[in-house]
Amino acid sequence: MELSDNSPWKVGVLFSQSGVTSTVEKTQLNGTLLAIRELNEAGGILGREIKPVIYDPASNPEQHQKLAEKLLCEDDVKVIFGCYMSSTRKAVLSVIEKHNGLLFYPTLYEGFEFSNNIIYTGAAPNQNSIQLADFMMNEGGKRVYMVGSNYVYPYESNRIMKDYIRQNRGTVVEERYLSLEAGEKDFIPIIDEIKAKEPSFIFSTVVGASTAFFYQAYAEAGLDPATMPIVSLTTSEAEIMEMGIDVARGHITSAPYFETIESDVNNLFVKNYRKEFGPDAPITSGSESAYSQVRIMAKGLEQVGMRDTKILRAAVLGSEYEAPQGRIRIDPDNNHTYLWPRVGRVNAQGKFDIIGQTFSSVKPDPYLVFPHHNDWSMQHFHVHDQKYVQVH
Amino acid sequence: MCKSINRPGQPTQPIFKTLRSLRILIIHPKDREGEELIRHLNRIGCQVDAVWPIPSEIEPRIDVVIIMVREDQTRQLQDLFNDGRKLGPTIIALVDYEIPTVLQAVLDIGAQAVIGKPIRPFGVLTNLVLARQNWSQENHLNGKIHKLERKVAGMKKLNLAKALLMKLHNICEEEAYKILRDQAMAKRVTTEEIASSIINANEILSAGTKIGSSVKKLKIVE
Repeated sequence: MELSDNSPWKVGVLFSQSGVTSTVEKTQLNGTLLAIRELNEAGGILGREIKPVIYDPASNPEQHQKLAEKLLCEDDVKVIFGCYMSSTRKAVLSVIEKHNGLLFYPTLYEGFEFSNNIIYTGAAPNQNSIQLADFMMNEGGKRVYMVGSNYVYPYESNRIMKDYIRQNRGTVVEERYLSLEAGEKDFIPIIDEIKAKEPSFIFSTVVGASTAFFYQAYAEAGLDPATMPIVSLTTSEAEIMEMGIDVARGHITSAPYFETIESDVNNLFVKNYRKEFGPDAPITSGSESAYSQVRIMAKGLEQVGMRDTKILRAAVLGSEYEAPQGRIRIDPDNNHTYLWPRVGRVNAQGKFDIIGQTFSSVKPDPYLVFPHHNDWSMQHFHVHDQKYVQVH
Repeated sequence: MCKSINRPGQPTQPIFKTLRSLRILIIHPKDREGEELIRHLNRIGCQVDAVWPIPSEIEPRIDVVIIMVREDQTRQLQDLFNDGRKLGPTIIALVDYEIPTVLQAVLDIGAQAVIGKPIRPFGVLTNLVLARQNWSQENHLNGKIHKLERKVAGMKKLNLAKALLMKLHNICEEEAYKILRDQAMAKRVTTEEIASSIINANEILSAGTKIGSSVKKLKIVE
């Protein structure tokens, strides 16, 4: 029935263009729109154009829920691309399950979720946290200070990190949580405490606009990333642009994608992205996941020719795609994605030098409660640069 | 402003560390829901077997049984779990009607947690953790109770034996205890065993006599 129709494939897009996490979510929106533009320029899917219905849920869980409901009920959408914070994904989850739609979620998160109605294309903790923890335990000393935003992702990320640190005989010198709206002043006592406790590194799960305030307060206090770096899973090219290159330089992030990856697929992706959104537009790991997940959905849709959730999901599960980060695959066991863990350090150009990476993709393990030092996720992880403290 | 939540470095509960080594038996019809449950437990990382209909016994190697509890099978369920084994598996009941008949069966089999049907992935991990924790606490407490009961019984015997010795030799409690202890040390057995033999010997020797009846009185006083 849908095949004979020449009307466009409508898809929902829910990335915040306002609110605390809008900076990074705009890069996810860009990734999504780039993929849709490219697909449409190549003739659409089975001759039909993809038409995004875009709303701004304003970094707010209630707005996410309301707009997801609107997309599914009023706009006749079955597939939604969107969400950054776990609180917003949880808000959409009940609606997407109720109306049996399919949410593609392109963001790293803390794991411990499975829904038949969600495809998770960002990193699970076994694809970023444990590589980062292992890297820091080997290279950066064993006294860790933890600071995060006050919501579910930082608590669970810290729990995983703590277990790993304990296994390696490290210590957590302090663990602090601040509001998502924390401003510059709120980080002053944090910086004072960091100075007093002298950790060997700082694990930050601060997200959104606060990220820049934290790194700026760190720089203003004259602390040195060469001896006490801030390490993170969320501080991306977008946050670096917000805080300034001088502030970001020397700090470390673990993610499956950095703009600096050398490959033909990535070079083309970066070129097209810049052409579309301007020479300074930051490209984040979130942009790349957002881009690739549209491509994967499109591949599935092309195969089955209908947007029935059950049928489309079956086509998407197990499918592979040559993404800018490397070949990825949707794991039919858990709806998460095989990804390529990497560790990067910010260089003088505000880009990430890749200082550790895997040479094969890592299977997602969203229910990994207790990562062991010798977990298989770590087996192919290689450190390029033993002396991470040298800033290039 | 900023607050410290957990004590830094607080460890994850040991229950989580053993989660992936749990051997789970699912007793549920082979339908879509049963398969969905198997897949989700595999996602969590447990070792899962499934069987249907209700088997006549559960292998001792099974750590957790997740079982469909239906109103028409309460008899089989009771037979399965009341097999007199001391340390049974952790039991999670799957129920689709909250009727008292079913809930009574849930209580009868001694379930530590319940999962409602239709089964959703959300909540399975929570119930698994909760059930396992309740189960291990129950075992821990049962072990403790067992130990205390034995201790109390032993003390009863000891007191009775002491009373007999005190009456027989007209001595004080301390002296009676010394006799018991010296005998135990000399024969390399526990004082409790010595106490038992004294009590047994007294029962035989004084059947129907005065001492026998006064000891009965002593028993009552205790």
